[in-house]
Amino acid sequence: MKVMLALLKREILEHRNIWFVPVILVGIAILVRLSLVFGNLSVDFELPSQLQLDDQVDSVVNSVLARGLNWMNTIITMTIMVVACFYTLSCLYNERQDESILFWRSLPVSDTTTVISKLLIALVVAPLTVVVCQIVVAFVFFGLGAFDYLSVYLSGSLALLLKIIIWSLLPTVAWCLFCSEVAKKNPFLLAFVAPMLLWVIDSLFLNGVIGDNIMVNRWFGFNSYTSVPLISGLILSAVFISLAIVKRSQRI
Amino acid sequence: MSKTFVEIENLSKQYGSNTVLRDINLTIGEGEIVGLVGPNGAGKSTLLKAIMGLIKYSGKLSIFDKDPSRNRTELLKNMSYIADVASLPGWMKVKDLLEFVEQTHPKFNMARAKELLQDTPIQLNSRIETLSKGMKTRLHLVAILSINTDFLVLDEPTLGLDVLVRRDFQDRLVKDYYTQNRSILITTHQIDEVESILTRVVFIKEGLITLDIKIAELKDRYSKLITTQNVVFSDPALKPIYQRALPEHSELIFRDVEASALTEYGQVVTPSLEDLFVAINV
Repeated sequence: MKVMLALLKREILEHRNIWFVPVILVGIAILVRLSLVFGNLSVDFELPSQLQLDDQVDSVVNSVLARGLNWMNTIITMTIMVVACFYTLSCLYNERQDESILFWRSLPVSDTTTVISKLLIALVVAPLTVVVCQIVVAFVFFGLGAFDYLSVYLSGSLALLLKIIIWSLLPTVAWCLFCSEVAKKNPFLLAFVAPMLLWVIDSLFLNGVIGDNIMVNRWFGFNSYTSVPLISGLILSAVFISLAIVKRSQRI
Repeated sequence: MSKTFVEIENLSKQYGSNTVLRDINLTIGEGEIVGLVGPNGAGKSTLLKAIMGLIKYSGKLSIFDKDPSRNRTELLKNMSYIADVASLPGWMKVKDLLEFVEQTHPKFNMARAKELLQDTPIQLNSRIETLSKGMKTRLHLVAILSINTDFLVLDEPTLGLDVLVRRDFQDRLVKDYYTQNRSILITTHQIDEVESILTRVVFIKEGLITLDIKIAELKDRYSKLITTQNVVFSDPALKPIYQRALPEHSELIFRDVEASALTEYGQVVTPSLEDLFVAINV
């Protein structure tokens, strides 16, 4: 446990994007909120006095704001997921690149523990940052009214987030970790080109068997998923992660 | 009874049809500083990889009576290892690095590390990449020497460092780490880099151990004759194993020859490890 915390701390110190991007996102939200008060986004509009105490008008205004915020939250989710993917693509590659892997591996930490710490960053820490970020932004916009908004929003979004993690994020980061470990020069290229080639071969010769059953649409397909691609995704994730661990344990 | 840290029996390693190590036998006990010396490609790093549990091999190899290829993580708790002093993560702060080692190595002693750091100009808040190469080496050594283990393995530790840093590195190994109960194994392809601190030297060439001798025994077994005469030694009992003609004089290396039998030809001294390395490996 102590070792795992040390490893997680190491990742957060090394890959500053993990916390830097959320901070920027919250910063943008604060700017937008300030602009609504006195900047270019502020509306020069005063409700007629008889409507100012009307609850219905209030709720209409709030629901418009809530829809805007829902969008903002989607963007937060997407951005942090992208950060998580880029993180997994670079983490194992970077430590080989700067040769610090020699130092890390000279300490009594198994390769399995190390790779799992990186996986935890992408699958647990990043999604947690999404939720924290969304909560902070809600408070920026609504003040104490955020409780009402969040109770509605999170009741649906948390389940969705979990689906995204299992359905899309896990296979993606597992693949990225694998690429990060095996790529000689460019893990990014490998991560993008290999699936492209597979897709080309699949659609030219295999009638799209792989695409329809295994790869499927993992960006937007999570509302309609079926068990075959779900299970094959889990199996592939396990395979990629194991390969990354084995490969790292063979490094000198 | 003295402890045995490393026990290697008939260890061989092949890459395809290429034999890299042949029937290596080596035992390292406590109180030794062993230099594993060989030219590039001699098999010394392969041997070290086997010791660190990074490759498969045939034969018997045990470190603290354990098979390193199965217990690498466990093994690293009882030994310290520096693969390359240029491998510290540059983005890290000194303080974070020491904390990381403290949290991952059960035998790390933070108080000891801070005490060792006080002799250096290194600040706890400095980022490692801002330190000079010499200071990085120093820091790496501080981190590793603060781990309370009895066996230290160094792989070409001072490669590419200038002579001042190298000398400092060696002296600190002896002063801050070495005791009668501890051992150090150092690999190098430049014998002069480690010569002065070794208690024992092992030469390896083309996968074979060509010499394994204690430094203390060296002067009894090998002698070097420096002579200006042009002597021809035809007596088989008095045959040099190596000779070298230099502009001013000749140097001849003898094995198991009494020094008194040679003094009439010139000056007799103990050969340096470099002399011996060349004499044995040509």
